[in-house]
Amino acid sequence: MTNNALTSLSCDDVRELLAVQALEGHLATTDDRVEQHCLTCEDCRQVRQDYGEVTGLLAFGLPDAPPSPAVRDRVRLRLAVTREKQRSRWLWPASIAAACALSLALGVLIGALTWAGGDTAPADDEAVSHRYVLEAAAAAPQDAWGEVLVNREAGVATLLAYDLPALPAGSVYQFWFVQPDGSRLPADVLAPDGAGSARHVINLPGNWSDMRGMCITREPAPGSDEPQGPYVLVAWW
Amino acid sequence: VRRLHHSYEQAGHGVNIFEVRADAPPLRDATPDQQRSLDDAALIARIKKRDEAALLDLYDRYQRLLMALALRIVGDRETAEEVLQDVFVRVWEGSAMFDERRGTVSSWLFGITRNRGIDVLRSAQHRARNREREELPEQRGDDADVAEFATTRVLVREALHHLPAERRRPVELVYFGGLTHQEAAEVLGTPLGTTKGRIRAAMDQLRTILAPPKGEQ
Repeated sequence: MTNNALTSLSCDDVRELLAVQALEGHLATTDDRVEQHCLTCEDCRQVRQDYGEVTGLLAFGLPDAPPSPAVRDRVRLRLAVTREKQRSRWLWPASIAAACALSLALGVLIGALTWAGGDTAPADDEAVSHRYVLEAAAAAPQDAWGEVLVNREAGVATLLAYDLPALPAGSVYQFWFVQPDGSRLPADVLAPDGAGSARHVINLPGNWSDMRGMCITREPAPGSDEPQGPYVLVAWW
Repeated sequence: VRRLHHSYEQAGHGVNIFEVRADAPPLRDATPDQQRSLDDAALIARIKKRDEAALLDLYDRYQRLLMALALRIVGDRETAEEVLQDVFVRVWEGSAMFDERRGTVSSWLFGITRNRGIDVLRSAQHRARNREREELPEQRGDDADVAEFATTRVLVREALHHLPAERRRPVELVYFGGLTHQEAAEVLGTPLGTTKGRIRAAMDQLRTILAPPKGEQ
C-alpha cells in the first residue's frame, strides 16, 4: 500500500467504515488506511469510541428474557470443572517430575517449561503496571484475542495471544509497536502452539510509553521492516 | 446469506423489535448508570481475583439482558441458555482481558454474548435444529424485574424507536442477525453503498442521543 493510498480517505469515508465495523463487532480493523487516519485524527478517534459505546448499548433495547433457574447452577458446575482443569494443569508437571524422580531441580525445570512454554516466569499480577487488550482485527476469527502485560519497573512486557489461526507454511506472526508518527517498529516474532496460544516476553523500548499501541500481523516471511501482511490483533494505548 | 436470514426471520427479526412498552418502569426507580458502572467494575476486579461469588453476582445482574440478546440472535431458548453459560465461563476465564478504559462491563458482556451467539447461529448444527423447529417461543419478559437498567433501557428504546425503518433494518440485520453489511445489502436488496450510508446515518443518529459530546450530557 502506498503512502498516497494511506492518505486518500476523508473523515467521511473513515466514519462510514467505522460505523459498519462497530456494528459488525470489529473495533479494530485490518484496513490500514482507517488505522492510519485515526492515528492523526482525534475527531475520528472520538467517533470510533462513540460508535463503540452505541453498539454496546443496543441490546438494552430488547425486552428482557429470564433464563431458567437451572442455568445459574449449570454455570456454577462449569466453573467447578474449569477450576479442576486449571488445577490439573498445575499438578501435571509436578507428577511428571515425581515420576521421573531425577532431581528436585530437574522436576521444577520441567514443570516451569511445561507451564510457560519455555518462556520466562508468568507476569506477577502485582508487578503489572499496565494491561492492554489486543482485539481481533477483521481478518482474525472473532474469538482471537490477547493482552499485553507491562512491567514498567522491569522494563519488560508479556504478550499473550489466544485462538490465533494456524499459519500457512513459511508465514509468521510478527508483533510491532505503533510509533507516535504511526509507523510500525518491529518487535519480535510470535510462535503460537498447536492450540493457537502464544506467550512471549519482550524488552520494552525506552520510549515505549510514547508508543500509540501494539499490533500483530501475519507476515509472509520474518524480517520485514514494516508490515507486509494483514493485521490480526491490535491494541491501542 | 439466505440461510442466515432464514434463521433471523425465524427468530422474529422481521418486525420492529425495539418496541417501547407503555409499562416500562419509571425513571425515578433506576439506579444511576454511573453507580452501576462502578459496581460492575468492582465485580470484575473481584472476578479477576477468582471470586466465584462475584461472577454469580454479575450473572444475577445481567442474566435477563444477556439471555434476551442471545435469544434474539439464536432464536430458541435452549440454545440461548447454552450461549449464556458459555458467556459466563468466558468471563471467568477471560476477565483479565476486560479493560475499563475501552468500554463498560455491559458492552463487554454484550460483545461476548453477540459473538458467541453468532458463532452458534452460523454453525451447521444450529441451522439444522432451526429447520426442524416448528415454531419459536414468544420473547416477552417482565421488564419491571430489571429496574436497575430502566434509565438506559428507556433511552435506548426511544433512540431506536425513532430510527426510520430504512436505517433500522440494516442495524437489526447486522447487529442481531450476525450478517455482514454486504450480506445485509443482499437481503435488503439495496446497493452496498446505500446500505453503508444508512448504517452510518443510523449510528450517527443513535450517537447524538446515546453518546453525546461530554459537555452536552
